[in-house]
Amino acid sequence: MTETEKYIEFNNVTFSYGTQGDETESRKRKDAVKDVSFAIEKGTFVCIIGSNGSGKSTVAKLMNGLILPTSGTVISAGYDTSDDQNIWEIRRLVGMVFQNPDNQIIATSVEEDVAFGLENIGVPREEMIARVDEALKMCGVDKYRHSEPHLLSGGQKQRVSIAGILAMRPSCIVLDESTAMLDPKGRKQVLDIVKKLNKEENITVILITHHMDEIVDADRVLVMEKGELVKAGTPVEIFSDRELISDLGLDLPPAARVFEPEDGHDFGETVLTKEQGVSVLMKKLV
Amino acid sequence: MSILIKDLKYTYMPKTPFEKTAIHDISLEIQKGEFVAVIGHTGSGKSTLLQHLNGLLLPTEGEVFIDGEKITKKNLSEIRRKVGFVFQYPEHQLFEDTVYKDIAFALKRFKLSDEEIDAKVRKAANTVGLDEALFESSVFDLSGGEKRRVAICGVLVSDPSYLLLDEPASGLDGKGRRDMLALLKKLNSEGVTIVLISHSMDDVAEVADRIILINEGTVALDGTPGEVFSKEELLASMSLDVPEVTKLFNDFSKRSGIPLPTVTTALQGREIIRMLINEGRLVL
Repeated sequence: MTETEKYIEFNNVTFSYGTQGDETESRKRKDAVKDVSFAIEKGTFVCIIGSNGSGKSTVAKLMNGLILPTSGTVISAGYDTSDDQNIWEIRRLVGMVFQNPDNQIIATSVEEDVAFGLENIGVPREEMIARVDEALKMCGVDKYRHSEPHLLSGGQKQRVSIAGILAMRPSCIVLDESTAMLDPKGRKQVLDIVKKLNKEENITVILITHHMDEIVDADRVLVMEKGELVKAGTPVEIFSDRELISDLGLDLPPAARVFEPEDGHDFGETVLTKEQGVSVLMKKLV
Repeated sequence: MSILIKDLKYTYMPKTPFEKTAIHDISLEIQKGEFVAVIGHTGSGKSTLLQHLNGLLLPTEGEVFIDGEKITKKNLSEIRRKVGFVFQYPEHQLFEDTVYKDIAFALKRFKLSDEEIDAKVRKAANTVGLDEALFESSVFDLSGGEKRRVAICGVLVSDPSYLLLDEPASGLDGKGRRDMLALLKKLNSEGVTIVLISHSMDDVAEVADRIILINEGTVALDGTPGEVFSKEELLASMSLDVPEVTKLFNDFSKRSGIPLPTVTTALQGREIIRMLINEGRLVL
Protein backbone atom coordinates (compact mmCIF):
# COMPACT_ATOMS: atom_id res chain seq x y z
CA MET A 1 0.00 0.00 0.00
CA THR A 2 1.23 3.47 -0.82
CA GLU A 3 0.24 6.61 0.97
CA THR A 4 -1.51 8.03 -2.05
CA GLU A 5 -3.66 4.98 -2.69
CA LYS A 6 -6.90 5.82 -4.46
CA TYR A 7 -9.77 4.97 -2.19
CA ILE A 8 -12.79 6.13 -4.11
CA GLU A 9 -12.73 6.54 -7.87
CA PHE A 10 -15.42 7.96 -10.12
CA ASN A 11 -14.82 7.22 -13.81
CA ASN A 12 -17.09 9.19 -16.18
CA VAL A 13 -20.07 8.68 -13.89
CA THR A 14 -23.53 9.77 -14.98
CA PHE A 15 -26.64 9.19 -12.89
CA SER A 16 -30.09 9.90 -14.29
CA TYR A 17 -33.31 9.86 -12.37
CA GLY A 18 -36.27 8.39 -14.20
CA THR A 19 -34.45 5.51 -15.80
CA GLN A 20 -34.52 2.97 -12.98
CA GLY A 21 -37.67 1.19 -11.81
CA ASP A 22 -41.34 1.84 -12.49
CA GLU A 23 -42.19 4.27 -9.71
CA THR A 24 -40.16 7.01 -11.35
CA GLU A 25 -41.76 6.48 -14.74
CA SER A 26 -43.95 9.56 -14.51
CA ARG A 27 -41.01 11.84 -13.76
CA LYS A 28 -38.94 13.37 -16.46
CA ARG A 29 -35.50 11.91 -17.02
CA LYS A 30 -32.99 14.12 -15.34
CA ASP A 31 -29.22 13.87 -15.14
CA ALA A 32 -28.40 14.49 -11.49
CA VAL A 33 -24.72 13.76 -12.11
CA LYS A 34 -23.09 14.21 -15.53
CA ASP A 35 -19.83 12.60 -16.61
CA VAL A 36 -18.05 13.10 -13.30
CA SER A 37 -14.52 11.76 -12.75
CA PHE A 38 -12.34 12.15 -9.66
CA ALA A 39 -10.33 10.10 -7.20
CA ILE A 40 -10.16 10.44 -3.43
CA GLU A 41 -6.99 9.29 -1.69
CA LYS A 42 -7.03 7.06 1.34
CA GLY A 43 -6.89 8.85 4.69
CA THR A 44 -7.70 12.30 3.31
CA PHE A 45 -10.35 14.76 4.44
CA VAL A 46 -12.35 15.84 1.42
CA CYS A 47 -15.27 18.28 1.29
CA ILE A 48 -17.88 18.48 -1.43
CA ILE A 49 -19.65 21.82 -1.84
CA GLY A 50 -22.17 23.26 -4.29
CA SER A 51 -25.60 24.87 -4.26
CA ASN A 52 -28.84 22.97 -3.61
CA GLY A 53 -29.54 20.61 -6.48
CA SER A 54 -25.93 20.56 -7.69
CA GLY A 55 -25.68 16.77 -7.35
CA LYS A 56 -23.63 16.56 -4.14
CA SER A 57 -25.96 14.14 -2.38
CA THR A 58 -26.25 11.99 -5.48
CA VAL A 59 -22.45 11.68 -5.51
CA ALA A 60 -22.58 10.63 -1.84
CA LYS A 61 -25.17 7.93 -2.50
CA LEU A 62 -23.13 6.61 -5.42
CA MET A 63 -20.12 6.17 -3.15
CA ASN A 64 -21.46 3.23 -1.22
CA GLY A 65 -23.78 1.79 -3.81
CA LEU A 66 -27.06 3.14 -2.43
CA ILE A 67 -27.60 4.08 -6.07
CA LEU A 68 -25.71 2.77 -9.08
CA PRO A 69 -24.32 4.80 -11.98
CA THR A 70 -26.42 4.96 -15.14
CA SER A 71 -23.12 4.93 -16.98
CA GLY A 72 -19.49 4.94 -15.91
CA THR A 73 -18.03 3.15 -12.88
CA VAL A 74 -17.63 3.88 -9.19
CA ILE A 75 -14.80 2.02 -7.44
CA SER A 76 -15.12 2.18 -3.64
CA ALA A 77 -12.56 0.62 -1.30
CA GLY A 78 -11.23 -1.28 -4.30
CA TYR A 79 -14.60 -2.75 -5.32
CA ASP A 80 -16.86 -1.87 -8.24
CA THR A 81 -20.18 -0.75 -6.67
CA SER A 82 -22.21 -2.21 -9.52
CA ASP A 83 -21.01 -5.74 -8.72
CA ASP A 84 -23.70 -7.30 -6.46
CA GLN A 85 -21.20 -9.51 -4.69
CA ASN A 86 -19.28 -6.58 -3.22
CA ILE A 87 -22.14 -4.42 -2.04
CA TRP A 88 -22.23 -5.50 1.63
CA GLU A 89 -18.49 -5.17 2.04
CA ILE A 90 -18.61 -1.70 0.44
CA ARG A 91 -21.38 -0.60 2.78
CA ARG A 92 -19.45 -1.87 5.79
CA LEU A 93 -16.28 -0.05 4.71
CA VAL A 94 -17.95 3.16 3.54
CA GLY A 95 -20.37 4.34 6.22
CA MET A 96 -22.91 7.07 5.58
CA VAL A 97 -24.36 9.67 7.96
CA PHE A 98 -27.43 11.50 6.65
CA GLN A 99 -28.85 14.96 7.26
CA ASN A 100 -31.73 14.32 9.61
CA PRO A 101 -30.64 12.66 12.86
CA ASP A 102 -34.17 11.40 13.43
CA ASN A 103 -34.21 9.35 10.24
CA GLN A 104 -31.38 6.98 11.02
CA ILE A 105 -31.81 5.88 14.62
CA ILE A 106 -34.00 2.84 15.04
CA ALA A 107 -33.34 1.12 18.38
CA THR A 108 -34.81 2.00 21.78
CA SER A 109 -31.46 2.52 23.49
CA VAL A 110 -28.24 4.15 22.31
CA GLU A 111 -26.24 0.98 22.97
CA GLU A 112 -28.61 -1.19 20.94
CA ASP A 113 -28.62 1.30 18.11
CA VAL A 114 -24.85 1.19 17.86
CA ALA A 115 -24.95 -2.63 17.97
CA PHE A 116 -27.59 -2.89 15.23
CA GLY A 117 -25.20 -3.21 12.29
CA LEU A 118 -23.07 -5.76 14.12
CA GLU A 119 -26.11 -7.94 14.89
CA ASN A 120 -26.93 -7.97 11.21
CA ILE A 121 -23.55 -9.30 10.20
CA GLY A 122 -23.52 -11.86 13.00
CA VAL A 123 -20.60 -10.63 15.11
CA PRO A 124 -20.16 -12.84 18.24
CA ARG A 125 -21.58 -11.34 21.42
CA GLU A 126 -18.29 -10.79 23.26
CA GLU A 127 -16.74 -8.99 20.36
CA MET A 128 -19.91 -7.00 19.79
CA ILE A 129 -19.81 -5.68 23.35
CA ALA A 130 -16.17 -4.68 23.01
CA ARG A 131 -16.71 -2.94 19.66
CA VAL A 132 -19.81 -1.06 20.82
CA ASP A 133 -17.95 0.05 23.91
CA GLU A 134 -15.03 1.34 21.92
CA ALA A 135 -17.23 3.16 19.38
CA LEU A 136 -19.31 4.86 22.09
CA LYS A 137 -16.16 6.08 23.84
CA MET A 138 -14.56 7.38 20.65
CA CYS A 139 -17.64 9.46 19.88
CA GLY A 140 -18.00 10.72 23.44
CA VAL A 141 -21.52 9.32 23.84
CA ASP A 142 -20.54 6.62 26.34
CA LYS A 143 -22.48 8.22 29.19
CA TYR A 144 -25.72 8.07 27.20
CA ARG A 145 -25.41 4.35 26.41
CA HIS A 146 -28.60 3.41 28.26
CA SER A 147 -30.54 6.53 27.23
CA GLU A 148 -33.43 6.48 24.82
CA PRO A 149 -32.17 8.04 21.56
CA HIS A 150 -35.17 10.38 21.17
CA LEU A 151 -34.17 12.16 24.38
CA LEU A 152 -30.79 13.18 22.95
CA SER A 153 -29.98 16.46 21.21
CA GLY A 154 -29.40 16.53 17.45
CA GLY A 155 -25.63 16.65 17.85
CA GLN A 156 -25.68 13.70 20.26
CA LYS A 157 -27.88 11.72 17.84
CA GLN A 158 -25.47 12.32 14.98
CA ARG A 159 -22.58 11.16 17.15
CA VAL A 160 -24.54 8.00 17.98
CA SER A 161 -25.01 7.47 14.24
CA ILE A 162 -21.26 7.85 13.73
CA ALA A 163 -20.62 5.38 16.57
CA GLY A 164 -22.90 2.87 14.82
CA ILE A 165 -20.76 3.21 11.71
CA LEU A 166 -17.48 3.01 13.64
CA ALA A 167 -18.50 -0.24 15.29
CA MET A 168 -18.49 -1.76 11.79
CA ARG A 169 -14.78 -0.88 11.48
CA PRO A 170 -15.13 1.22 8.34
CA SER A 171 -12.27 2.86 6.51
CA CYS A 172 -14.34 5.75 5.19
CA ILE A 173 -17.22 7.90 6.48
CA VAL A 174 -19.42 10.00 4.19
CA LEU A 175 -21.38 12.79 5.90
CA ASP A 176 -24.19 14.09 3.71
CA GLU A 177 -25.04 17.50 5.19
CA SER A 178 -24.99 15.81 8.58
CA THR A 179 -24.40 19.10 10.37
CA ALA A 180 -27.10 21.11 8.57
CA MET A 181 -29.80 20.62 11.20
CA LEU A 182 -27.55 21.03 14.25
CA ASP A 183 -26.94 24.03 16.48
CA PRO A 184 -23.38 25.45 16.58
CA LYS A 185 -22.40 23.36 19.58
CA GLY A 186 -23.66 20.11 18.05
CA ARG A 187 -22.02 21.02 14.76
CA LYS A 188 -18.67 21.52 16.46
CA GLN A 189 -18.94 18.22 18.36
CA VAL A 190 -19.61 16.26 15.18
CA LEU A 191 -16.79 18.00 13.29
CA ASP A 192 -14.34 17.43 16.13
CA ILE A 193 -15.15 13.71 16.11
CA VAL A 194 -14.71 13.27 12.35
CA LYS A 195 -11.51 15.31 12.31
CA LYS A 196 -10.14 13.13 15.12
CA LEU A 197 -11.12 9.91 13.31
CA ASN A 198 -9.43 11.24 10.19
CA LYS A 199 -6.18 12.15 11.94
CA GLU A 200 -5.88 9.39 14.53
CA GLU A 201 -7.57 6.41 12.86
CA ASN A 202 -6.66 7.34 9.28
CA ILE A 203 -10.31 7.09 8.29
CA THR A 204 -11.09 8.78 4.98
CA VAL A 205 -13.71 11.50 5.58
CA ILE A 206 -15.97 12.94 2.91
CA LEU A 207 -17.96 15.87 4.19
CA ILE A 208 -20.77 17.41 2.17
CA THR A 209 -21.74 20.80 3.51
CA HIS A 210 -23.05 24.33 2.97
CA HIS A 211 -21.04 25.71 5.87
CA MET A 212 -17.93 27.27 4.41
CA ASP A 213 -16.22 27.46 7.80
CA GLU A 214 -16.26 23.63 7.91
CA ILE A 215 -14.16 23.22 4.80
CA VAL A 216 -11.19 25.45 5.65
CA ASP A 217 -9.25 22.51 7.14
CA ALA A 218 -9.97 20.07 4.31
CA ASP A 219 -7.15 18.48 2.32
CA ARG A 220 -9.18 18.88 -0.82
CA VAL A 221 -12.47 20.43 -1.90
CA LEU A 222 -14.65 19.26 -4.80
CA VAL A 223 -17.08 21.82 -6.18
CA MET A 224 -20.26 20.58 -7.90
CA GLU A 225 -22.61 22.61 -10.05
CA LYS A 226 -25.58 21.38 -12.11
CA GLY A 227 -24.41 17.79 -11.83
CA GLU A 228 -20.88 18.49 -12.96
CA LEU A 229 -17.60 18.66 -11.12
CA VAL A 230 -16.48 22.22 -11.87
CA LYS A 231 -13.39 22.51 -9.69
CA ALA A 232 -11.19 20.54 -7.33
CA GLY A 233 -8.40 21.91 -5.17
CA THR A 234 -7.25 22.99 -1.73
CA PRO A 235 -9.51 25.36 0.25
CA VAL A 236 -7.14 28.24 -0.57
CA GLU A 237 -7.26 27.43 -4.29
CA ILE A 238 -11.06 27.29 -4.21
CA PHE A 239 -11.59 30.50 -2.27
CA SER A 240 -8.99 32.40 -4.29
CA ASP A 241 -11.13 31.79 -7.37
CA ARG A 242 -13.44 34.78 -6.83
CA GLU A 243 -15.15 34.31 -10.16
CA LEU A 244 -16.14 30.74 -9.30
CA ILE A 245 -17.34 31.71 -5.83
CA SER A 246 -19.54 34.49 -7.15
CA ASP A 247 -20.80 32.53 -10.20
CA LEU A 248 -21.94 29.67 -8.00
CA GLY A 249 -23.36 31.95 -5.31
CA LEU A 250 -21.16 30.34 -2.64
CA ASP A 251 -20.40 32.08 0.64
CA LEU A 252 -16.91 33.05 1.68
CA PRO A 253 -16.01 32.12 5.28
CA PRO A 254 -16.70 35.13 7.57
CA ALA A 255 -13.00 35.96 8.08
CA ALA A 256 -12.38 35.87 4.32
CA ARG A 257 -15.04 38.51 3.72
CA VAL A 258 -13.01 41.01 5.74
CA PHE A 259 -9.95 40.52 3.54
CA GLU A 260 -11.55 40.49 0.09
CA PRO A 261 -9.24 42.50 -2.15
CA GLU A 262 -11.75 45.22 -2.95
CA ASP A 263 -11.36 48.98 -2.57
CA GLY A 264 -7.59 48.78 -2.87
CA HIS A 265 -6.90 46.79 0.30
CA ASP A 266 -5.06 43.81 -1.10
CA PHE A 267 -3.27 41.89 1.61
CA GLY A 268 -1.76 39.61 -1.01
CA GLU A 269 -2.81 36.45 0.86
CA THR A 270 -5.95 34.36 0.93
CA VAL A 271 -7.37 34.47 4.45
CA LEU A 272 -9.83 31.73 5.40
CA THR A 273 -9.73 31.53 9.21
CA LYS A 274 -9.64 34.08 11.99
CA GLU A 275 -6.16 32.86 12.97
CA GLN A 276 -4.88 33.61 9.47
CA GLY A 277 -6.64 36.98 9.62
CA VAL A 278 -4.94 37.95 12.86
CA SER A 279 -1.52 36.87 11.59
CA VAL A 280 -1.93 38.81 8.31
CA LEU A 281 -2.87 41.94 10.26
CA MET A 282 0.05 41.50 12.66
CA LYS A 283 2.48 41.22 9.74
CA LYS A 284 1.31 44.53 8.29
CA LEU A 285 1.44 46.33 11.61
CA VAL A 286 3.80 49.27 11.75
CA MET B 1 -47.86 50.05 18.33
CA SER B 2 -45.76 47.26 19.81
CA ILE B 3 -45.46 43.78 21.17
CA LEU B 4 -45.51 44.19 24.95
CA ILE B 5 -44.60 41.32 27.28
CA LYS B 6 -45.29 41.65 31.00
CA ASP B 7 -43.95 39.26 33.67
CA LEU B 8 -44.23 36.27 31.36
CA LYS B 9 -43.91 32.74 32.70
CA TYR B 10 -44.68 29.47 30.96
CA THR B 11 -44.68 26.01 32.51
CA TYR B 12 -44.97 22.87 30.38
CA MET B 13 -47.19 20.10 31.77
CA PRO B 14 -48.00 21.85 35.06
CA LYS B 15 -48.98 19.71 38.06
CA THR B 16 -47.46 16.56 36.58
CA PRO B 17 -44.14 14.85 37.33
CA PHE B 18 -42.91 16.31 34.00
CA GLU B 19 -43.59 19.91 35.05
CA LYS B 20 -40.96 22.24 33.63
CA THR B 21 -40.81 26.01 33.65
CA ALA B 22 -39.43 26.97 30.25
CA ILE B 23 -39.47 30.76 30.58
CA HIS B 24 -39.98 33.11 33.53
CA ASP B 25 -39.76 36.80 34.55
CA ILE B 26 -39.70 38.11 31.00
CA SER B 27 -40.80 41.70 30.48
CA LEU B 28 -39.92 43.58 27.33
CA GLU B 29 -41.33 45.62 24.49
CA ILE B 30 -40.67 45.34 20.77
CA GLN B 31 -41.63 48.50 18.89
CA LYS B 32 -43.24 48.39 15.48
CA GLY B 33 -40.57 48.50 12.77
CA GLU B 34 -37.77 46.88 14.79
CA PHE B 35 -35.60 44.03 13.50
CA VAL B 36 -35.00 41.78 16.50
CA ALA B 37 -33.01 38.56 16.80
CA VAL B 38 -33.60 36.21 19.70
CA ILE B 39 -30.56 34.08 20.51
CA GLY B 40 -29.79 31.44 23.11
CA HIS B 41 -28.49 27.88 23.14
CA THR B 42 -30.76 24.92 22.43
CA GLY B 43 -33.23 24.53 25.29
CA SER B 44 -32.85 28.10 26.57
CA GLY B 45 -36.54 28.88 26.04
CA LYS B 46 -36.28 31.13 22.97
CA SER B 47 -38.78 29.12 20.90
CA THR B 48 -41.22 29.05 23.82
CA LEU B 49 -40.95 32.84 24.03
CA LEU B 50 -41.55 33.29 20.28
CA GLN B 51 -44.63 31.07 20.41
CA HIS B 52 -46.22 33.44 22.94
CA LEU B 53 -46.06 36.37 20.54
CA ASN B 54 -48.93 35.15 18.38
CA GLY B 55 -50.78 33.04 20.92
CA LEU B 56 -49.51 29.61 19.88
CA LEU B 57 -48.87 29.31 23.60
CA LEU B 58 -50.78 31.29 26.23
CA PRO B 59 -48.90 32.43 29.35
CA THR B 60 -49.05 30.40 32.57
CA GLU B 61 -48.53 33.76 34.27
CA GLY B 62 -48.22 37.29 32.89
CA GLU B 63 -49.56 38.93 29.74
CA VAL B 64 -48.69 39.62 26.11
CA PHE B 65 -50.19 42.62 24.28
CA ILE B 66 -50.21 43.21 20.54
CA ASP B 67 -50.78 46.89 19.71
CA GLY B 68 -52.33 47.30 23.16
CA GLU B 69 -54.62 44.31 22.87
CA LYS B 70 -54.05 41.44 25.29
CA ILE B 71 -53.76 37.99 23.66
CA THR B 72 -56.48 35.70 24.99
CA LYS B 73 -58.20 32.56 23.75
CA LYS B 74 -60.95 34.74 22.30
CA ASN B 75 -58.99 36.96 19.91
CA LEU B 76 -56.50 34.43 18.53
CA SER B 77 -57.60 34.55 14.90
CA GLU B 78 -57.40 38.33 14.84
CA ILE B 79 -53.97 38.26 16.55
CA ARG B 80 -52.63 35.67 14.12
CA ARG B 81 -53.65 37.79 11.15
CA LYS B 82 -51.56 40.57 12.57
CA VAL B 83 -48.66 38.41 13.76
CA GLY B 84 -47.48 35.81 11.21
CA PHE B 85 -45.36 32.84 12.25
CA VAL B 86 -42.89 31.03 9.99
CA PHE B 87 -41.80 27.77 11.59
CA GLN B 88 -38.40 26.14 11.20
CA TYR B 89 -38.27 24.16 7.93
CA PRO B 90 -41.65 25.63 6.89
CA GLU B 91 -41.38 23.80 3.57
CA HIS B 92 -42.23 20.59 5.44
CA GLN B 93 -45.73 21.98 5.89
CA LEU B 94 -46.50 22.56 2.23
CA PHE B 95 -49.29 20.22 1.27
CA GLU B 96 -51.46 21.57 -1.55
CA ASP B 97 -50.94 20.18 -5.03
CA THR B 98 -49.90 23.48 -6.59
CA VAL B 99 -47.78 26.40 -5.44
CA TYR B 100 -50.68 28.82 -5.99
CA LYS B 101 -53.13 26.84 -3.85
CA ASP B 102 -50.61 26.53 -1.07
CA ILE B 103 -49.97 30.26 -0.95
CA ALA B 104 -53.70 31.04 -1.06
CA PHE B 105 -54.64 28.53 1.63
CA ALA B 106 -54.69 30.95 4.59
CA LEU B 107 -57.01 33.30 2.68
CA LYS B 108 -59.77 30.71 2.40
CA ARG B 109 -60.93 31.55 5.90
CA PHE B 110 -61.58 35.14 4.99
CA LYS B 111 -64.61 36.14 2.97
CA LEU B 112 -62.72 37.32 -0.07
CA SER B 113 -63.58 37.22 -3.77
CA ASP B 114 -61.38 35.20 -6.13
CA GLU B 115 -60.03 38.47 -7.53
CA GLU B 116 -59.05 39.73 -4.10
CA ILE B 117 -57.34 36.43 -3.29
CA ASP B 118 -55.52 36.51 -6.62
CA ALA B 119 -54.28 40.04 -6.02
CA LYS B 120 -52.96 39.13 -2.58
CA VAL B 121 -51.22 35.98 -3.81
CA ARG B 122 -49.50 37.87 -6.65
CA LYS B 123 -48.45 40.69 -4.36
CA ALA B 124 -46.91 38.29 -1.83
CA ALA B 125 -45.16 36.30 -4.60
CA ASN B 126 -43.76 39.51 -5.99
CA THR B 127 -42.49 40.54 -2.54
CA VAL B 128 -40.56 37.30 -1.98
CA GLY B 129 -39.35 37.18 -5.58
CA LEU B 130 -41.20 34.03 -6.54
CA ASP B 131 -41.67 33.59 -10.27
CA GLU B 132 -45.39 33.47 -11.20
CA ALA B 133 -44.52 30.83 -13.79
CA LEU B 134 -44.17 28.44 -10.84
CA PHE B 135 -47.77 28.96 -9.64
CA GLU B 136 -49.12 25.80 -11.28
CA SER B 137 -46.06 23.66 -10.42
CA SER B 138 -46.12 21.02 -7.77
CA VAL B 139 -44.36 22.21 -4.63
CA PHE B 140 -42.27 19.04 -4.79
CA ASP B 141 -40.59 20.17 -8.00
CA LEU B 142 -39.11 23.28 -6.40
CA SER B 143 -35.64 23.79 -4.94
CA GLY B 144 -35.15 24.13 -1.18
CA GLY B 145 -34.90 27.92 -1.35
CA GLU B 146 -37.99 28.20 -3.56
CA LYS B 147 -40.03 25.97 -1.24
CA ARG B 148 -39.15 28.16 1.70
CA ARG B 149 -40.24 31.23 -0.26
CA VAL B 150 -43.58 29.59 -0.98
CA ALA B 151 -44.03 28.84 2.72
CA ILE B 152 -43.22 32.44 3.69
CA CYS B 153 -45.54 33.68 0.94
CA GLY B 154 -48.34 31.67 2.55
CA VAL B 155 -47.84 33.72 5.71
CA LEU B 156 -47.36 37.07 3.95
CA VAL B 157 -50.69 36.87 2.08
CA SER B 158 -52.44 37.87 5.29
CA ASP B 159 -50.40 41.14 5.37
CA PRO B 160 -49.03 40.66 8.89
CA SER B 161 -47.56 43.72 10.65
CA TYR B 162 -45.32 41.46 12.72
CA LEU B 163 -43.44 38.49 11.32
CA LEU B 164 -41.96 35.83 13.62
CA LEU B 165 -39.48 33.36 12.14
CA ASP B 166 -37.76 30.35 13.69
CA GLU B 167 -34.37 29.82 11.98
CA PRO B 168 -35.42 31.13 8.54
CA ALA B 169 -32.04 30.51 6.90
CA SER B 170 -31.15 27.09 8.29
CA GLY B 171 -30.36 24.39 5.75
CA LEU B 172 -30.22 26.83 2.82
CA ASP B 173 -27.15 27.11 0.60
CA GLY B 174 -25.06 30.30 0.46
CA LYS B 175 -27.18 32.07 -2.10
CA GLY B 176 -30.45 30.90 -0.54
CA ARG B 177 -29.30 32.18 2.82
CA ARG B 178 -28.22 35.59 1.51
CA ASP B 179 -31.46 35.97 -0.47
CA MET B 180 -33.48 35.10 2.63
CA LEU B 181 -31.69 37.68 4.79
CA ALA B 182 -32.10 40.29 2.05
CA LEU B 183 -35.82 39.49 1.83
CA LEU B 184 -36.27 39.99 5.57
CA LYS B 185 -34.35 43.27 5.41
CA LYS B 186 -36.62 44.41 2.59
CA LEU B 187 -39.80 43.46 4.44
CA ASN B 188 -38.50 45.32 7.48
CA SER B 189 -37.77 48.45 5.42
CA GLU B 190 -41.37 48.29 4.18
CA GLY B 191 -42.53 48.48 7.79
CA VAL B 192 -42.91 44.83 8.82
CA THR B 193 -41.55 44.17 12.31
CA ILE B 194 -39.25 41.14 12.25
CA VAL B 195 -38.52 38.89 15.22
CA LEU B 196 -36.37 35.90 14.36
CA ILE B 197 -34.58 33.10 16.13
CA SER B 198 -31.16 32.17 14.83
CA HIS B 199 -28.16 30.12 15.87
CA SER B 200 -25.93 31.88 13.38
CA MET B 201 -24.24 34.79 15.13
CA ASP B 202 -22.79 35.93 11.80
CA ASP B 203 -26.29 36.21 10.30
CA VAL B 204 -27.67 37.91 13.39
CA ALA B 205 -24.88 40.49 13.43
CA GLU B 206 -25.55 41.26 9.79
CA VAL B 207 -29.30 41.86 9.89
CA ALA B 208 -30.59 42.63 13.38
CA ASP B 209 -30.79 46.06 15.05
CA ARG B 210 -31.43 44.51 18.43
CA ILE B 211 -30.51 41.19 20.03
CA ILE B 212 -32.37 39.58 22.91
CA LEU B 213 -30.33 36.84 24.56
CA ILE B 214 -32.31 34.22 26.44
CA ASN B 215 -30.52 32.03 28.96
CA GLU B 216 -32.15 29.53 31.33
CA GLY B 217 -35.59 30.82 30.48
CA THR B 218 -35.09 34.53 30.99
CA VAL B 219 -33.56 37.60 29.34
CA ALA B 220 -29.81 37.71 29.99
CA LEU B 221 -28.90 40.53 27.60
CA ASP B 222 -30.87 42.96 25.45
CA GLY B 223 -29.06 45.45 23.21
CA THR B 224 -27.49 46.23 19.85
CA PRO B 225 -25.24 43.58 18.22
CA GLY B 226 -22.22 45.68 19.24
CA GLU B 227 -23.32 45.73 22.88
CA VAL B 228 -24.25 42.06 23.10
CA PHE B 229 -21.21 40.72 21.24
CA SER B 230 -18.81 42.86 23.29
CA LYS B 231 -19.40 40.35 26.09
CA GLU B 232 -17.52 37.42 24.58
CA GLU B 233 -16.76 35.72 27.92
CA LEU B 234 -20.30 36.00 29.26
CA LEU B 235 -21.64 34.52 26.02
CA ALA B 236 -19.10 31.69 26.18
CA SER B 237 -20.31 30.86 29.71
CA MET B 238 -23.77 30.36 28.15
CA SER B 239 -22.30 28.10 25.40
CA LEU B 240 -22.73 30.83 22.82
CA ASP B 241 -20.24 32.17 20.33
CA VAL B 242 -19.68 35.68 19.08
CA PRO B 243 -19.36 36.22 15.30
CA GLU B 244 -16.10 34.96 13.78
CA VAL B 245 -15.19 38.53 12.78
CA THR B 246 -15.65 39.73 16.36
CA LYS B 247 -13.18 37.09 17.58
CA LEU B 248 -10.72 38.01 14.84
CA PHE B 249 -10.61 41.68 15.82
CA ASN B 250 -10.67 40.94 19.57
CA ASP B 251 -7.60 38.71 19.14
CA PHE B 252 -5.90 41.29 16.94
CA SER B 253 -6.66 44.05 19.45
CA LYS B 254 -5.16 41.95 22.27
CA ARG B 255 -2.01 41.03 20.35
CA SER B 256 -1.37 44.48 18.88
CA GLY B 257 -2.38 46.47 21.93
CA ILE B 258 -4.55 48.70 19.74
CA PRO B 259 -7.90 49.32 21.45
CA LEU B 260 -10.78 48.67 19.02
CA PRO B 261 -14.56 48.89 19.28
CA THR B 262 -16.52 45.61 19.01
CA VAL B 263 -16.58 44.60 15.35
CA THR B 264 -19.55 42.39 14.42
CA THR B 265 -19.67 42.30 10.61
CA ALA B 266 -17.17 41.96 7.77
CA LEU B 267 -18.20 45.41 6.58
CA GLN B 268 -17.28 46.97 9.92
CA GLY B 269 -14.03 45.00 9.84
CA ARG B 270 -13.13 46.51 6.48
CA GLU B 271 -13.85 49.99 7.86
CA ILE B 272 -11.57 49.35 10.82
CA ILE B 273 -8.79 48.24 8.47
CA ARG B 274 -9.30 51.33 6.33
CA MET B 275 -9.10 53.48 9.46
CA LEU B 276 -5.89 51.78 10.63
CA ILE B 277 -4.34 52.28 7.18
CA ASN B 278 -5.31 55.95 7.17
CA GLU B 279 -3.79 56.37 10.61
CA GLY B 280 -0.59 54.79 9.34
CA ARG B 281 -0.76 51.87 11.78
CA LEU B 282 -1.12 49.30 9.03
CA VAL B 283 0.92 49.37 5.84
CA LEU B 284 -0.01 47.08 2.98
